[in-house]
Amino acid sequence: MTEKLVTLNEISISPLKFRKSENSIIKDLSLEIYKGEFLGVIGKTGSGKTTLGKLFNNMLPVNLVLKKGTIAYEIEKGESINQKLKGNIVSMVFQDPITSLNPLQTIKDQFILILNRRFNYENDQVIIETKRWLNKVRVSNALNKYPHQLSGGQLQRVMIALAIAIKPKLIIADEITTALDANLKYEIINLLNVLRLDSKITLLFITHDLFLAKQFCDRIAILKEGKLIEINYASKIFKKPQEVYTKKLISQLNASNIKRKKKKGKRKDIILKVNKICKTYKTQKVLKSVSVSLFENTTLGVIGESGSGKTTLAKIILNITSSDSGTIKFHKWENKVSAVFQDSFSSFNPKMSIRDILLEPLNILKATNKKSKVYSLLKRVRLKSDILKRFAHEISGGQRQRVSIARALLIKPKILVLDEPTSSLDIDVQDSIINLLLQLQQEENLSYFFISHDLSVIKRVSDYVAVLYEGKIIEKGVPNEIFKNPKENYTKQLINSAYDINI
Amino acid sequence: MFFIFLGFLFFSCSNDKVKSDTTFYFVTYDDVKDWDPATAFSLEVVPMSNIYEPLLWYKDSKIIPGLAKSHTKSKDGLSWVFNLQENVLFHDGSTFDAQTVKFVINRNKTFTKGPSYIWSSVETIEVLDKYKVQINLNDPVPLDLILSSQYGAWMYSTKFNEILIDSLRKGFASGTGPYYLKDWTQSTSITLERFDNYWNYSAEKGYFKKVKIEVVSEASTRIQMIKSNLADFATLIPSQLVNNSSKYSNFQVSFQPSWVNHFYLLNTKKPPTDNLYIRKAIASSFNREVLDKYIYGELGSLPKGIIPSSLPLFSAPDSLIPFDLKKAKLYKKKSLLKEEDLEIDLSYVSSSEEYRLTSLMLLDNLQEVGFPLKIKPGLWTSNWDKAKNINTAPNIISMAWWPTYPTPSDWFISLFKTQSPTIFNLSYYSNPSVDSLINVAQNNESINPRKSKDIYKIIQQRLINDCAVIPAMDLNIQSVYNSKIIGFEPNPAYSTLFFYNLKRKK
Amino acid sequence: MNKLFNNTGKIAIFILLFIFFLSLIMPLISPYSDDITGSTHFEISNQSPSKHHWFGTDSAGRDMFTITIRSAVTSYKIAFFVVVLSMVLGCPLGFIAGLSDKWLDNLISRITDGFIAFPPLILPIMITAMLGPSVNNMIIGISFSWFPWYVRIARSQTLILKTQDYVIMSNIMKGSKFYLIKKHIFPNSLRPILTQGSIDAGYAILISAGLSFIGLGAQPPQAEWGLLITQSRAQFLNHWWVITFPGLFIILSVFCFNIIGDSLRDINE
Repeated sequence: MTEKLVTLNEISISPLKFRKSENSIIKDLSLEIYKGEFLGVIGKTGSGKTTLGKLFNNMLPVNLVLKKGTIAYEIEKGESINQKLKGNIVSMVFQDPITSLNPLQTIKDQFILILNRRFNYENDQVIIETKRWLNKVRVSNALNKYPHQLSGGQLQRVMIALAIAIKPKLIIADEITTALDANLKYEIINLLNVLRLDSKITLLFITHDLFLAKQFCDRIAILKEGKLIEINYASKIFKKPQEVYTKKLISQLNASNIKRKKKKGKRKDIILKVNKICKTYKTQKVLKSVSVSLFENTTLGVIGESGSGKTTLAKIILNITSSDSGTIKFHKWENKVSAVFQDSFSSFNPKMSIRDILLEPLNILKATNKKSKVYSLLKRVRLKSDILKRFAHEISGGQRQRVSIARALLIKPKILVLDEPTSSLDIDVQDSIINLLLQLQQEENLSYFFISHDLSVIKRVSDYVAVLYEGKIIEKGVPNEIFKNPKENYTKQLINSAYDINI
Repeated sequence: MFFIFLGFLFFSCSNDKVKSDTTFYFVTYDDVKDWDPATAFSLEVVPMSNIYEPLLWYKDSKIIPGLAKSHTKSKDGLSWVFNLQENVLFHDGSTFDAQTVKFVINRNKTFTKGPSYIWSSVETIEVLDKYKVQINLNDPVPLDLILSSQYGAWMYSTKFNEILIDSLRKGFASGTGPYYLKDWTQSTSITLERFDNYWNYSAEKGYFKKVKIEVVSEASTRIQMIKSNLADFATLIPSQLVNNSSKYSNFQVSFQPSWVNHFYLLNTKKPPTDNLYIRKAIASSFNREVLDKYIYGELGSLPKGIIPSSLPLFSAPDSLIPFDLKKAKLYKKKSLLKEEDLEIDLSYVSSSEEYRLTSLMLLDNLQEVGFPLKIKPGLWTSNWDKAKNINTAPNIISMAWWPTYPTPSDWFISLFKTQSPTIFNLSYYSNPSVDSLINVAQNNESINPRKSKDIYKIIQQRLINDCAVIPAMDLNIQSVYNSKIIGFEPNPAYSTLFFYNLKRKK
Repeated sequence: MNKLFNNTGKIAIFILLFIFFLSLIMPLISPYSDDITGSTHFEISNQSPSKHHWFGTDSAGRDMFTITIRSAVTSYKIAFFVVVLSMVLGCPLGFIAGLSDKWLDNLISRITDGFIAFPPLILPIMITAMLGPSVNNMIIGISFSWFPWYVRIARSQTLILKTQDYVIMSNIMKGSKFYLIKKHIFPNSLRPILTQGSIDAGYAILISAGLSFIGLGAQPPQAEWGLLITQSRAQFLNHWWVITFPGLFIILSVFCFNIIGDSLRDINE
């Protein structure tokens, strides 16, 4: 295991325009990658982890330059190394497989093209190889399909097959699970891991997800602001982290699994009753008679993967989409529903400053005293007022989500629909947002309709849990019951894959 | 613009196209619109004057025999007898005789469009024998000139009685002329072939077995075709296009005298040109020298009166209103009109470079005098439509005129006689004494030409004094043709080309 | 400006502004400024380019340099008003269609489809011919045949934007349609609309030159490139300059407007 494959020596990468070293994206990074290992690179957004991945195939964006440092590939006897060969030594899998595939060619054609470039197969042999690989990743039906005809998970499998089929020495997997649901995540990585072990391929696994890293990686490298701050065997890192930053990361991971205090007291009133909601888009039944209830000042956690109908359900509750049948009943507070969505650039009008964004609900309501209302709410979501003159793309994801919450609260809602509010955030930010939400719930007497695919988040925030699967609520109850004694197979599977990696 | 370039490309690439020696290629700017020889009144004259023949021809101020060998008229000029050529065959095989003449004139009279009006004085037609016919008139009009008319006097087969209107639309012709209609592709080309049973056969003539008339609307393309030997003869080439062409030795430019003249009618009913002084101011701003020197060049000559000076019975009036901007300013003052009432508009036919430049000249001069002139170029048909309605009529309109048969009356009757509704009297001129003078002059053309000539002079002077019209130019028709073609016989009475007379030099 | 355009875009804007500025001051700086208002000098007609007449003279003896440059005022005026009028007519309709129920959306879309079904030049020709030939009527004619394209862009932008979370939030907060358009949809679809606009400005010059060529646009003695070309077509075999310079300026302007459009779009992406 200690035979070296690649040695990175004092690599620095900086943007073309800034030659000063403090602007470097990667700073004096030295790293040895061993043959056959599963090396995890952990870092938050902006830590330089993606840039590091792109370094290997000369795929640096045009505005970045390798300022100094060397990359050396250790080659077995008889093999010569030059620039041309690198493509065969390193292959890559990305977060978004659809952009890596040619939309105008079938999967078969793309395999043939790539395999033919690598090997001198006979005509029939290429097809046989292609079929073999697609079988291995269990998407044999994709052979004659176009990329857009496949689901995200299927595409990712295809990409994995493509990456391994050319028999590289090193595979770089950059956040390949981020867009996938919990269940799928483990399947995909498992698959990748099994296949690479077969062929003894080294894997550089770039992620922000500590859970995953712990589960699979042989070694873990922690990247912070372009610097490699710690690298060690996975077990050692988790048991005895050396650096403060690493400790913090790991403690957050643990913290997020601490259950919230159970609320005690009298039984609450029902504030929202969803009754037998059905919805069909064209021919696809998205929701099949969904019924759930939300109690006052509690959180209903809805677990669902993408495609389960959870977003449609949220939209129906928010009255943005109409249902085909069924009723939504609000008790006491008719028009007091607001929402927080997943953090993305679509959450805010790019042309509006944070001030305008926060004034918007007040303007619509024609409220008075707008300024003081905005300021007091900023305080409550722990934001400073200097953020007001900025634009959404100028602030961090966590700050954006706080603004989102502030915006939702400005119309003084009683019910908040939270659709994946923490999903695209880094783990430590996730934690602080959840804490904020829990705190606000008590202060404002809010009821949450909390949708997520992340079991640990649901487990932490929910008073009641409902599992949405293929448009149906297949199971509901209090979190303890569901997580300890899941009745449905799907739920079991879901919890198993998540619990495997729980500390 | 793009199409012109395309045209160039096409023609410059196909220089080596094999061209038959005995085919004559004639390029013109528009197609035949009406295949009925009774009503055709425009460019149809080119193919039709080669397909059909009249009873008499007009040449060098004389009447010469055509399908009629000889003729006599009664003293009062009301009764005419014609002896016809014998053994004349139509292209469809039928025979030409006195019955045909009767059929043609009677049929022509039934129409109310085109040149059919020339027959309005014909009362009866008597067939005296197979080749002798007598025509009786209401008024003593010059029937010999009428029968030599370039439009409406063609003798055609009685087959026209039998064929359907639809087959005329698809192209049908049957005359006695030296060429017959072989093929017609609308808007593209007409093919004529030599008629081997032509009655007036001559061994020296009829060199061309085939004539191809092609429609090419851009003048620059037409001249390009001549330069590259793709065409033998091109009509209506603006003078500016050939000024520089002397470096090409394979073609010649000719200016055939014509009875076409250009002039500008001033609206006498519409303000401010209903004011005589305003009309005089405009006429005094009209610089004919510029037209002669820079705009028309060889394409025209200075007019001496309202009608072309080479026309029979022409007699020049004493003077035209001369160019004098000082006087124009004086006239403007005398009109006593306010500045804001002085806006004048002028419409001209946009396809003519000569009209355009003339309008610019007038605009410049009128600006100096103090008239704001609005120039409105347009197609003749739309200009004419607007001008016929007094509410939409312009103050000034460009006109070109030529006679159907050689007589000054063609101008005066159509343009200046009181008209209701307005057709061509676009100056809205109405003067009872001029009306009666025109009648007298016309009725004396045949029996007392001298008297007629004097009256035409008086009429012209009256119109000039009343300033209803500004004469611009007497026109030469410019043609460009291959230098090897010989045998042209220019005749202002017919704006066509007689293919039978032409030859190609070796 | 820095954020709006890249360098080629800036150069194109500079060229257009320079031509426009030159044409504005042309009456003041040209020794032949009379020619702009229709002065004629037949004695010096059809002269080839020389140091006195940089672009030569036309068949009425007018200085081609003066009137060719001066034409930019007319042509750019046409380009500007055609685009603005098309936008003013088209965008609100498109926004409304994009935000409305099916039937209103369908109604607006079908109407615009009807307009678009006409071959590109037929409608401007019909409308201008009906109103009477003049520059203003031509602007109306072209705008009326172009506004449906802006309906389409505005509608498709609206359809994209209305699925954005911030628009959904506005909806949840019960913001009115007018509010949504004003605050969210209009500001965020402005750039693709402007991109289309600047490319269309080039085509407006081209089409107006075409309409003037067939006598429907500018009328003599007005200076306009299309009209200059029409007037020159009888002579250009012998006098190349009368058609070349107006033609070059049309090409240059259309090219510049296209570059500006491309530049807007590039930065958009």
